[in-house]
Amino acid sequence: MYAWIWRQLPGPKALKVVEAVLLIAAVIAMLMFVVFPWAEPRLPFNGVTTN
Amino acid sequence: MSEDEYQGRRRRSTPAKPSIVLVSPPQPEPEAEQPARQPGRHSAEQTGGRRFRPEDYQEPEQPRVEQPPRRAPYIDGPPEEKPPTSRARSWFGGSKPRAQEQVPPERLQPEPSPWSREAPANQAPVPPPPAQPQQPPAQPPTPAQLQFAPPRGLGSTPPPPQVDVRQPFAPATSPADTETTTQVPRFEPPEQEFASTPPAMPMDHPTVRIPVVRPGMSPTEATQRDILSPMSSPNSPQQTAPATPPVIPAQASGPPSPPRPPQPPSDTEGGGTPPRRPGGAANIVGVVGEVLITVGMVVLLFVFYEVYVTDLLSAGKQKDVTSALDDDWKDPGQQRQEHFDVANGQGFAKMFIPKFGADYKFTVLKGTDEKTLEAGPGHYVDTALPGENGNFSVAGHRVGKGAPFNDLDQLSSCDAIIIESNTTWYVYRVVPYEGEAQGWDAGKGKTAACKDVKVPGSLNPAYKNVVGQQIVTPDRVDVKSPVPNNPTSTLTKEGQLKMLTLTTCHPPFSAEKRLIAHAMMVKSYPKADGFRPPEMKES
Repeated sequence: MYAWIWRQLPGPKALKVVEAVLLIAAVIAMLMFVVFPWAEPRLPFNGVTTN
Repeated sequence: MSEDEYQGRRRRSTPAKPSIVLVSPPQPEPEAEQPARQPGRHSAEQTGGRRFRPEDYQEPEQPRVEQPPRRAPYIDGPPEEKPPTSRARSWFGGSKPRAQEQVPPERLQPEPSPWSREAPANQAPVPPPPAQPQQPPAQPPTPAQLQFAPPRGLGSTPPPPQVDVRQPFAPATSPADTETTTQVPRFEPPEQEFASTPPAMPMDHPTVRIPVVRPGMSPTEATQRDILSPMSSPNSPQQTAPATPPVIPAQASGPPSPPRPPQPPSDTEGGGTPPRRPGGAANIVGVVGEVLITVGMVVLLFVFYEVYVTDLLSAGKQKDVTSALDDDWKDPGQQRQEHFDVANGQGFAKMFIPKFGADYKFTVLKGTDEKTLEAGPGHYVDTALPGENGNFSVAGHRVGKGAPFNDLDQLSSCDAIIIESNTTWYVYRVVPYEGEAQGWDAGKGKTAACKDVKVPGSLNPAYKNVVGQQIVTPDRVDVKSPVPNNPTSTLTKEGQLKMLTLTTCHPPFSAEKRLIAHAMMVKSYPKADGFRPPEMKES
């Protein structure tokens, strides 16, 4: 999977490294600011109220 | 190595000497041999292989027709390595092109010198080591290897005489020679490998070594291996020795020769190509593994998000609502009167818990929805307001999102919880824990902090079930009822105590239960410039 992604990255090796880092950063940002905030209320981790 | 080699050389030289003496002229050689030997191994292999081409062979062979006997000693010598190399060099060196390419001076000198006697004595000492290192790097191994092969074939003609010579010698000295040779060759192969460039080495050594050793193993495995390995190394250098290669196979590895070709490749492959390309099943397993690893990484990221990232996000939100509340309190129109009627999600009070640190301060917001709780502790809108009779109830996160109630389980009875409003400081204190109620007045109740703390049940029977801390299931809404844990109480608001209830999750990272803290108001101070309740200094 990761090898396949690596092969899809264009450019020389140095450019590929930069692209890979950017890809990873983008994925992490997507998780942190979109996926996790969306999923968190649906997970039984932070019920603090009684109702 | 040097010792063994020398010994072997000496031994060999002694038996072989008769033949050598007859053939060779050679005292001058010793000097030449010494240098030649050193460079000889590598150079001989490399350059010699090149030079060995038919032309070269013919020339040296003719004059040296006498040499076959020499070769015979050499044959013994081949194990010795150095002498053979020197010979090879001498042969090659004798050829015009060789002199130019290789370390010409040394080689040229050795050529005139005979192999026989001088070589062993002189060679052993100094010359070989220095020359070897220098030569190998300079000369490329690969060409030598390539060239070597042809020379062998070419050399096929010359070998027969050598074989003959050797055979006679061999029977006489065969055991000793083989052993000595074995010793010598063993040392040589490693040396050559190190000194020579890798590409060249594998070619010569693997082909020669492997085939010879395994097949030849049957008679005397170790000795044959040694012989073969040395032979191989010397052979290539000796190229003049084309005779030697054929001879060797005939003696030890003649039969084994067929296996040789397969073995060398196998060895080289096994060592050289460790990674094998996975098949379809392996690919699937690999992908599954990557997916699992990715999921694990995402889970870890989520924990990191919960514990740290949400704190950062919530800190900003808490700061915003706090500044908004400060602005509201500074509004002249709001002076001198409480202002709890704010929009959902807006701050209306500040909470201080000295037990959690002098810097513990959170703005309490209206509402308990998730978005509000991300900015700070939230007030259950259907419960009493600060300072009111009833139960002022607040929910807050225990993990992440600022975690205002992260240490709620660290509270103990009589700890102060201070609520600041627009006009007043309300001081609440945690009521006695379960088990502390009995004998409270004569026990902990006497301490300064607990001076005003009473057992709620002693003040009014309706509060008999109220304790400082409790852990309940999430459906226990009665913990925040006007009379905690007594939702059916008919106590009128005028008769109710001024309670404070904090709720958070329990255990941490779980929504399984709720951790509840109950406190009762013991004191209040009107706000004044520069005044802070003395309870703020408790910790």
